[in-house]
Amino acid sequence: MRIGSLRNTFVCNKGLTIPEAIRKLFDVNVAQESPLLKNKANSLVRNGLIEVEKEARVQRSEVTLCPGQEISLHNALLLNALFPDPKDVKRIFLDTQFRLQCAELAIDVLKNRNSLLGQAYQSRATEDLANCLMDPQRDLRAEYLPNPFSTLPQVILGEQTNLLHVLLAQAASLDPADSFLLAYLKGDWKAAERLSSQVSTGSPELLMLKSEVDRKLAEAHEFNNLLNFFRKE
Amino acid sequence: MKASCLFLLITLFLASNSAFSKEAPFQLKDSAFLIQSCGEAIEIFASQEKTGYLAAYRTSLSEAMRAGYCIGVIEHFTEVYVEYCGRSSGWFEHAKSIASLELTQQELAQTDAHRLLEEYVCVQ
Repeated sequence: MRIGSLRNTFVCNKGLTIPEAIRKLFDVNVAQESPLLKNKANSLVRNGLIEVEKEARVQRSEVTLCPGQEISLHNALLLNALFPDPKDVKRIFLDTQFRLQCAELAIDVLKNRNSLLGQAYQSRATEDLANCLMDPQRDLRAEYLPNPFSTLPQVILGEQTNLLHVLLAQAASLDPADSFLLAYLKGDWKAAERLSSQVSTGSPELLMLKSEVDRKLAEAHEFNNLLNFFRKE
Repeated sequence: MKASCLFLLITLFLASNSAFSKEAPFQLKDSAFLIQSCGEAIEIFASQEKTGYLAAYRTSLSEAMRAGYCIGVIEHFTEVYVEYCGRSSGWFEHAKSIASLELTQQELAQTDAHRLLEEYVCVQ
């Protein structure tokens, strides 16, 4: 009875709590899977990017999202995957110039990755995400950004690392698999042979490439033997 | 007799290759085809000398097959006509001299492959 009368005093309808919203948006149970994600969300609330209602209760106050804040929370956490500092995330929402700079960075690390194999398997959503960021007309508070992640990187990588570092490290060194693919595509068989001998484990795509290269090489050696056979006097 | 039997077999084999279907039917007498084939053979071995096993990547299936045809025809010819032509110095030299021929359309029409073989495989 008392709670009912308290509710009447609030302006906005009761929204989801932050853990509920994260479960709905990303299918992540923050309590069990990623306290980090919950902390990040709370930081975004504290710095004012995400608006919440606090409902005073006897036991403990309940924090719920204001209407329309789900989209903002979704986009903010998505951007937080790339930009770990909640300050930066807030600034992307507010500062168009900064948003464009960040979009370029996102394109660099997500789209123009040095990994050819990575590009071949890149999801469409990555491109859409970068394009959305690039276009200041797209309202980050009104439109869900496309999510290129099957699981948010914050959940997988944890506190110590962030996606940007991982991607930058990846971009800094050309993947050996790429030189391999490149050698194959360029028809540099000497290099392909050398690189193939170095590959023993890897992704199914890499192993498929290796077996294709090895098959072609075996064929070439067989042909060479046949030529020698014909030339023998 | 033995010769014509083998030639017939080769003819049947190559005739089944659809690549030739758009051209005139394959004929043993076709001297231009023999010259082209021997040119192909010389080229493949030159490429092998330069690049080793990489020759495989510079040779198409049809080039390889034509080259094989040239080698087969010369080997067979020298074998069958050994009494008439004397001991062969090996198919490679013969293929080289056939490949280096530059005949006009008219000369090609007047010379059949057997003539070529007689002339360029039997001289030694």
